[in-house]
Amino acid sequence: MIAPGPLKGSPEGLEALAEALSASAARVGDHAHAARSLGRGVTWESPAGAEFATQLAQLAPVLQAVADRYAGAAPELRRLAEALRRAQTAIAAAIEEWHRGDDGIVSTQQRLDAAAMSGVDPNAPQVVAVREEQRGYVARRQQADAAHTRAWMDYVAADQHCAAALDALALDTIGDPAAYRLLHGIEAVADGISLVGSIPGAGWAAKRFPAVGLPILLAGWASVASRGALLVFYDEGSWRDLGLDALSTAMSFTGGSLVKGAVAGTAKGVNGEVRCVKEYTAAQRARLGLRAEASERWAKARSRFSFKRSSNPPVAEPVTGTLAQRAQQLASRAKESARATADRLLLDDLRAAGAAGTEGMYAAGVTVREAPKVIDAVTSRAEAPDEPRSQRKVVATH
Amino acid sequence: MHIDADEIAALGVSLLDLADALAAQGDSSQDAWAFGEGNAAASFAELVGAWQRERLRVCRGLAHLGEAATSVGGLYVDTEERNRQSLVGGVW
Repeated sequence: MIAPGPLKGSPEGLEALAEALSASAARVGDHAHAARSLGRGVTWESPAGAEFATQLAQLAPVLQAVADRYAGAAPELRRLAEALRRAQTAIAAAIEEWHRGDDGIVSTQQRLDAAAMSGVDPNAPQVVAVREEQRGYVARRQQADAAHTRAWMDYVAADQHCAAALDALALDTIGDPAAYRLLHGIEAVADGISLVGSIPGAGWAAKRFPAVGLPILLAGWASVASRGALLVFYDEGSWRDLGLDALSTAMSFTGGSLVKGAVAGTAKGVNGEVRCVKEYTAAQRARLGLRAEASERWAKARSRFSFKRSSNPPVAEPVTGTLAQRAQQLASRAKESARATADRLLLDDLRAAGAAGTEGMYAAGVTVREAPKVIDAVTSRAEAPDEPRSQRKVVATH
Repeated sequence: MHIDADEIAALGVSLLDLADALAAQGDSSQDAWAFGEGNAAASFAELVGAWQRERLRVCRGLAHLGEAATSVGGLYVDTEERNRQSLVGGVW
């Protein structure tokens, strides 16, 4: 008979995850609240500030959805942790009891065998007593089996309940669309297959056996195509990376690419010492070398069409007057310059129109009026040691 | 009530921190061990990871706004400090 096994998992790990989710939910929720508050009922003193608040407010619904997801998941994980702890305790006891019963069955059987070997009457009272004792051990083992199954099923029910609750929480507006998932799936699978083509020797094999080479080539192009679709439809990735991928897919290995791959992950220190800063497999090195070679060719191709932008920096008026007047003028000019730079930074960057002739964020050394204590809440929360990653790592090392 | 430039800069840092934290999330493979056997691990991975598209968008937005607020807030603080030093006899 096969002995029942223990139930894997860590209640402490689940509780740590729940804590991390709660902390993340609070932090993201604070930012969502701040984003909404700064965009509503607050007077900004410049168009740049208003644009900043508008764009921040646009992120609020997503941040709130993330906070809701995490906040809802935390108690579910705590309940699951409790169910797991209860089940593991019951299952460990059942396994111990099962082994006690099994040991008893084996030892009573040995005594029965010894009695039979020595010619003792099978109906002798002492033999009957051993058989009765053995039946007791069999019953203990069966009960332990039943207790094990009960505890296991209880946990399965808790697990299913938790899974359903988490699935329900994930049914919000921020989940990835099916087409997006499909493209990422294609990219991952195609990447894996095309990586085979990067392994030294695969090129020779592909030429010798076209049936092998074609799928690898197609996978390489499927990867490029799926990344292209992600870029076109979802604004994910960059045209430069896509071009490099296409170029490296079309390229074959050269001496230069192999050399570049061989030195990938190494760095030269200030004292000239070269050391390895990142480990790669041979296949990864081959791919990295190919990509570095493609990048070099790309840069060369681009340099043929590059041009220099002319710039005419404005000439400042000379500062005149007494020392105090000059200081005032310089201070005023610095403020103007800061205001102009600030608005240019924001408005250029945020692609907002109408920068010219505005009051500027700095107008009174101030940016926003009547903001509630949202910024305080957000910045103080950011200082709290609630990084979920670090917590997870701590748990994982236990 | 007015918010100072350094508070805007602090808000920028906070937005950048949040962008980093959200960008680091999504891979729950390290956490699957805690669930042991069952379906909850897959559901948890879905909950934490399967909003990649929005996560990238939000991270880009937060990083963008965070950098803008940090640059602008820092610029004001620097300018104010330089002006203060200048007006009390400091050196430019």
